[in-house]
Amino acid sequence: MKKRWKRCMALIMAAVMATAVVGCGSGDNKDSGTQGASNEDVTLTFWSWLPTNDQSEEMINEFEKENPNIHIDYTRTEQDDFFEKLQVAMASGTGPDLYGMTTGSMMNQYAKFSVDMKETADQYWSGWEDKINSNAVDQCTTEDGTMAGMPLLVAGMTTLMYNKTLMDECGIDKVPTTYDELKDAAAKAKAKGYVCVAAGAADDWINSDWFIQASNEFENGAVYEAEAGKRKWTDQCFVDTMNAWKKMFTDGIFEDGALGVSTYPDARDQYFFARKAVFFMTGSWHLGPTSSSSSEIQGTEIGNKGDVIGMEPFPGVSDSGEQLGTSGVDVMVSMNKDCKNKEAAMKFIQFLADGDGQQYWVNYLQGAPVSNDISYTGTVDGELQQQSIDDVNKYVSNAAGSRKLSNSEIETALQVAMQNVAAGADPLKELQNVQKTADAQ
Amino acid sequence: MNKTGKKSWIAYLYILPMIVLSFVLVYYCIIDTVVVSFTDWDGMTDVFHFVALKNYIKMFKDHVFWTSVVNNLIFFVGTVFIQALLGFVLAVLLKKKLPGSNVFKAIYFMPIAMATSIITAIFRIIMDPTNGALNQFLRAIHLNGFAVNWLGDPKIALVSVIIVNIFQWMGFSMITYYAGLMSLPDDVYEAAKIDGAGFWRTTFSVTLPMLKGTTNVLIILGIVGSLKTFDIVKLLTGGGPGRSTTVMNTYLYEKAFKDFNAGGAASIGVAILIIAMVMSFLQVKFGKED
Repeated sequence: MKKRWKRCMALIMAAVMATAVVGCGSGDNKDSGTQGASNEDVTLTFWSWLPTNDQSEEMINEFEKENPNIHIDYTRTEQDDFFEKLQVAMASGTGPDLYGMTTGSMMNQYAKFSVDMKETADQYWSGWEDKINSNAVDQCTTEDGTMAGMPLLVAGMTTLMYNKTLMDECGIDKVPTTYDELKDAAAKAKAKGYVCVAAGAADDWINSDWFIQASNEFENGAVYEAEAGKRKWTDQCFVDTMNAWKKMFTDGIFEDGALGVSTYPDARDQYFFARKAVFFMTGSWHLGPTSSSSSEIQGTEIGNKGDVIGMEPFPGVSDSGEQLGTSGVDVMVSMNKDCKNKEAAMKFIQFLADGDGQQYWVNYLQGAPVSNDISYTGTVDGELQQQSIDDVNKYVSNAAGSRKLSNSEIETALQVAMQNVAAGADPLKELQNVQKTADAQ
Repeated sequence: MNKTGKKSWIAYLYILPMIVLSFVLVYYCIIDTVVVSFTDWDGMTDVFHFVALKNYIKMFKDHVFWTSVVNNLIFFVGTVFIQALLGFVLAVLLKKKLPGSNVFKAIYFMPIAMATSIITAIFRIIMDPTNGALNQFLRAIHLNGFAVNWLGDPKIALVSVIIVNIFQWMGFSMITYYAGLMSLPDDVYEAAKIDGAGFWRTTFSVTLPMLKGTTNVLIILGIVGSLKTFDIVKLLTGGGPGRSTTVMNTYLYEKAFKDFNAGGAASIGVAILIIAMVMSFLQVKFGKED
């Protein structure tokens, strides 16, 4: 009896095991985003880092109110984590119907999984080309002519968010526009016990963004030529840019230990919002806090004290003092080739790029519009905010070129070189390593 | 089928679930990784080509790979020995049954139960050079020279990662040593006492030699643990500044997810696997000896 029981148990365990293994492999083929004809209820899955959690509820509710038969199942992930999640999902064929995307190397990599947006838009959204900024569309198009996604917002680098209240307290008369003025501001801020510029130099992306932007001030367009292999990374304009970067650390412009501080949340929350830094290095997408009613600063130290916040272009770092920014599509939306309800998906894309979604984003000051018909219609919170919006928009619209490189290995080499230089390494030697990476390709 | 044959058939049936699970979850993945390491697969598409040993040749010529190997080695030496030493000291003190020893036992063990993401988020704040509690404390007690840039200085960042790792895993060494101490027979200590051995003599001549097996196991586990290091580095420093804290696993991750070079990432994975196999062999060898 005992033996029989044991044998039965063994057989049951083996059967359970086999079922579990088969069960693992079978998967759930139900894909809500790929079901239904245009008049039936449809659920579209959408993954991105934008809209933020604050924005998504209102935006998606608005869309679903306008389109009651389309439901958006939105998953937000921080940008770095988002691409890792997306890569695994795409490789396993379980990617979402719509996904956020950046221009450059990421767009090129994911283009093979995405529909040609031009073809799809031509089919479901007549006249779209007249409505969307053609320059932004070009940035979303790969070298082989595939439009990998629809642009949603344009943003520029580098900007300086400033605390006017603290500037007055430190005796800093105006927002610095040149390096000498920035250095003078740093001395005044330090004398009052404040950090001058809170910078998150632990983040690779902001460092390379800064380099690309600042190098254009030394020689406009050189960085794009170097990426294309038409000139050397060891050229004088890049050495000068690296030296300017180094001075940010050695002259005490950035906080001590900026190399160990990330932009979000550390530099923003623990320094600028915590009222420990007078300035914060960021981009044009961060204009929101220039309004005292911005949800982002509610409950923070600067919000509680009622400090006046503004934004201006980052000071020119070359001898000429020229302030020359970079810009680019900050976020685009791509459509999965496996998405079976392209018409519904295109309705949501239209909402984000040219409809109420775009208007909501623009009024939130998340970025500049890609729609030719949309501009900022929100209330302006005083003269300073108006000035901030005008100056930053002018800076972005006069940008020298793209904010990002499209070659990820060169970008990584540049990022490593910048951190090494900030830690004391020789700029020329580090640029030689960048050149080696470029040569190896 | 005779009785012995039937018995062995049933025995195989008992272990079948584990064999199937191991194959699906472990061995298949290992074989697949080895195959991928000979290809130029980007980790996403179905398109790939066999490139023979190209990924391995590139890996051996890659100075970043060797930097990551050296960092792994420093990490191992820095964590395992200090961790074992501190764990041993704490276990000896806890065995003394001083007042509150149970509370301290729980406190020292607590970090093991905490998620690495929480520990690293807290330490990022604590180790902030300007606003962090650590530097503020050091300045308050006039040790300004020790208030350094913990995570932002390439010369110190790896040490900081080691400190956080020790904080997280010291409790494991402590509890392992404590369990070992509790299993030691009292009569050995009584004999040592009769022979006139004091605390230090007893510790070095009786306790430590009798815990040799525990120490060996901790060291081997530490080697394997350091080879698996990823989350703590990724979340504290991301491998920077520069390459100062890049370890093999973070470099593998960078290859796979940033450079879309799954073939290159797999070759690093195979290198880690070979080192881990050698270490496992040593673990078995030490286990047999003790």
